[in-house]
Amino acid sequence: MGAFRLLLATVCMGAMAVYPQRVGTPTGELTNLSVEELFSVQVTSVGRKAQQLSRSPAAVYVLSAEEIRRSGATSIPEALRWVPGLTVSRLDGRSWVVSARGSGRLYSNKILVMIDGRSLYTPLFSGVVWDSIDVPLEDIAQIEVIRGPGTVVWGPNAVNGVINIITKRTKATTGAEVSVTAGNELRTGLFVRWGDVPRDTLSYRIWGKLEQRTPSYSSPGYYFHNNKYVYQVGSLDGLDSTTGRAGFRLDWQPNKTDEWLLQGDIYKLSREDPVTYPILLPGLVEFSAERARYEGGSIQGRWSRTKAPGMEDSVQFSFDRNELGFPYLTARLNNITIDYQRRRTMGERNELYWGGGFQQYWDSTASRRSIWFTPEDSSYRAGNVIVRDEMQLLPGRLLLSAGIRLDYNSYGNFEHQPSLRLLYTPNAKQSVWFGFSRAVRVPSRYDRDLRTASGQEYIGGAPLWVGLAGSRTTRSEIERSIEAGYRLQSGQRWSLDVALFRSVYRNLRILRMPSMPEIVSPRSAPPGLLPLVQESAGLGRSYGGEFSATWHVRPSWKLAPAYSYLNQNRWLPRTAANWYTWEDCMGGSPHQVLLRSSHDLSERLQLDLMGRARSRNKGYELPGAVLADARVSWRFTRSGELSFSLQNLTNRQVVESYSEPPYAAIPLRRTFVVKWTHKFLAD
Amino acid sequence: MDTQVPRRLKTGINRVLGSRLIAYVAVTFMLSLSALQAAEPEDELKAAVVLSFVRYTEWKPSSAPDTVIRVGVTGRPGFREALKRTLEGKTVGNSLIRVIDLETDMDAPRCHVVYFATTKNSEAQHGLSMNRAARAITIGEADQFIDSGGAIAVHLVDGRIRFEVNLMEVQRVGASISSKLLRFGRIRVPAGGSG
Repeated sequence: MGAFRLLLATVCMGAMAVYPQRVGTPTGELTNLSVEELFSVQVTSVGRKAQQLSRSPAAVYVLSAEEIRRSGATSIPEALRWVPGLTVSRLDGRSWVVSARGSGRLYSNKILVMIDGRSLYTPLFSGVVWDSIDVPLEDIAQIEVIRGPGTVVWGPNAVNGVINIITKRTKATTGAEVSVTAGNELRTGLFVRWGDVPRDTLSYRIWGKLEQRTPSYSSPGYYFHNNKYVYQVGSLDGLDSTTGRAGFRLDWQPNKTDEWLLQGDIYKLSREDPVTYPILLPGLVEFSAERARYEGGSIQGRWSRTKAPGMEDSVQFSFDRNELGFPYLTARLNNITIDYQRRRTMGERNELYWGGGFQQYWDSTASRRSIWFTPEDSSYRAGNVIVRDEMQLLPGRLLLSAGIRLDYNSYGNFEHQPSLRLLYTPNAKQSVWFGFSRAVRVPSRYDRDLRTASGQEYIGGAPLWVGLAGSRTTRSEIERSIEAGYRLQSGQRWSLDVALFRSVYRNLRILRMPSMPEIVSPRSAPPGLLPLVQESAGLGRSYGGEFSATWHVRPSWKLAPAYSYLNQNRWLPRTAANWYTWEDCMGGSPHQVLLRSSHDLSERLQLDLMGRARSRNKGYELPGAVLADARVSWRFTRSGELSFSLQNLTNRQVVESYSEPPYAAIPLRRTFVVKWTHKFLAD
Repeated sequence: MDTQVPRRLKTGINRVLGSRLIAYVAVTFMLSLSALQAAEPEDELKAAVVLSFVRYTEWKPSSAPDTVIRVGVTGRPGFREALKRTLEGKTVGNSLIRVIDLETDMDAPRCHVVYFATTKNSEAQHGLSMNRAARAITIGEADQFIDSGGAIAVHLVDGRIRFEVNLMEVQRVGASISSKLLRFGRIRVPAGGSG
């Protein structure tokens, strides 16, 4: 507790000492650009400020609203498929694996996902429930994806990447918009929004959304229980889901210096979940058709004040509450965060960023079957301070960004996460960057308090009860990473982006097995129990690279190829006293290729063709695949559009990845979506 | 002092909200900061684009600026400041650029370029009817700016600046824009217009 107060006091004292400032895109730089360069400048907030993409010393990709619209995606993970270097695998049409640079699984625990800076990463099990954060695609301004560590800027758990979903300002969504969607999987989709600018200083929008999906089509269903046993159902049905969601956003600029943002949403989701629980592995499982219900909401506020151009200070507050009714566990999660950041230009060459944050999380869980937390209720608090300096070693050419983030949480973990980055821009067209970082994934309740009764399993020829237990001694997983990248922007005609990385991991989560089973009761059958206890002793290493490019073949035709390579490996400790095993299977394909073609056939007609290929998934022993999508849209008036999208044109029945027990994965099929969008412009 | 870790919501929230430090920080910020200008993140970029329009526009001798190019601006305060910072005092050829705040300088002479920093169509339409904009190249952000009689509409699309231009309107005020610049925009004919 003392350390918390110390952190808070540090934040506060600093806050009182210096005026807040804000750094925008440097005016001097922009006025010196050629016309060609000026119109290719893309504004992003990757470094928590508006900046040119080409000036970011990190592996960044910005998925624009136009790219999202033209992809034909009906959900955020579907849109993320087209981000170079991300691994996005569909499991059952509702759940997804989304990861960067490895460690991909149902709830990937080394990637941080945010909406407008609000973290969606849950301290219950280190991951994101993708189907519960379905922001309307129509409201997204852009999705900024940082591959590699982003902890100094964005916080812990951004070990392998950050996905920041940025919603549109309310002034960009005035008037009414309606879109209606229908297809063979997304059966019904309805989105309605109204936005207005009652005064030039005040604007708002309100929106609502309904969706009904039926991903199952009597295809086989695969239940991955372990590397030795995948239970297969010949014909799986009952994967329907229904979601309702409503929200608002308010932007207010009461005077020349202040900006306020307030936004919130509520949602309710119901999905059918055919699940399997192990009875005696390999071979015997219990099949159960159940229903999951999620509901919750969030509210988020931000205040920022600008003292002078390029100088900002801001406070962000968020509260979210989620009730997750999984088939095997119910959990009520609450999370409050307060984040403060200040920026100040120190002389002509330095830009100092500093701030701090506080998080209060609490939950209440109840077991429905096989899985429970001990204790059932828990709370968690964390505080942090950040200091980062951007120093122009050679003004306009060589930038050094050095920073450190210190975190302390109520689990007793004190973490330091330093980062050092260099950006060299010999001219406006090219940039080279290097980065060295240390990042951590802090333990979650899953690591510390989880208990499972995983049925029986034949081990050494005899059946044994198997149970998994978290451990209070679990430490943070640590990554050390070195990266380098090169960007070239040749006006508006073409651009390319290359990044290379190498990371080593320590304290990875593994399971320790005693060399001899415990005897639980001589009268039970079987009498032996094999307890698996979490431990932080695994080692890992990954290296690879990502390449992406854009080529405007003609003003009306753009090609965007991308390729990524990932080599990941990991090791268990060597010891004679215990046996160790991994808690999850390391899935993932080493090679991924994307190719998008965006063609404006006329002012009103657009054609998009998209292909993606991935090599064999070694961890799950799934074959590689080549898949193609297409979309045609017709803008029949200035404010109306009709589109037809086809995914998996060749109807290849491919399983992209297995899920985790007790959930199923089903093969892809050809899906289509017809979407009508109409905007009714306000005065 | 209670040093135990709170396990329940009530205790946790009371701790947090009860912290005088946090309240003090908030109050300190609210009271201590001086009132200066705020700009939208993309305003600097839009201002740089206005500078490009000034640089790549040629006026007929009858309407050409002599030694001063006057760029009028109205609307969002943050943008008005961003435009002043970006353009004021710069030169194009032998002419000096002067930024005129049309909301405060009521007696300003005729402008060569006028920027309407508002997304509201009604305000843009009202602005376009002003005498001071009658013979200027008008630039705006409203959705229906071209249809309302404006010359150049600037939009932020996917973080990048895009523009539409009504060449008839540019010619009407005795100016022409270089093709070097026009190839990055889209030529539009206003609804109901010809040609």
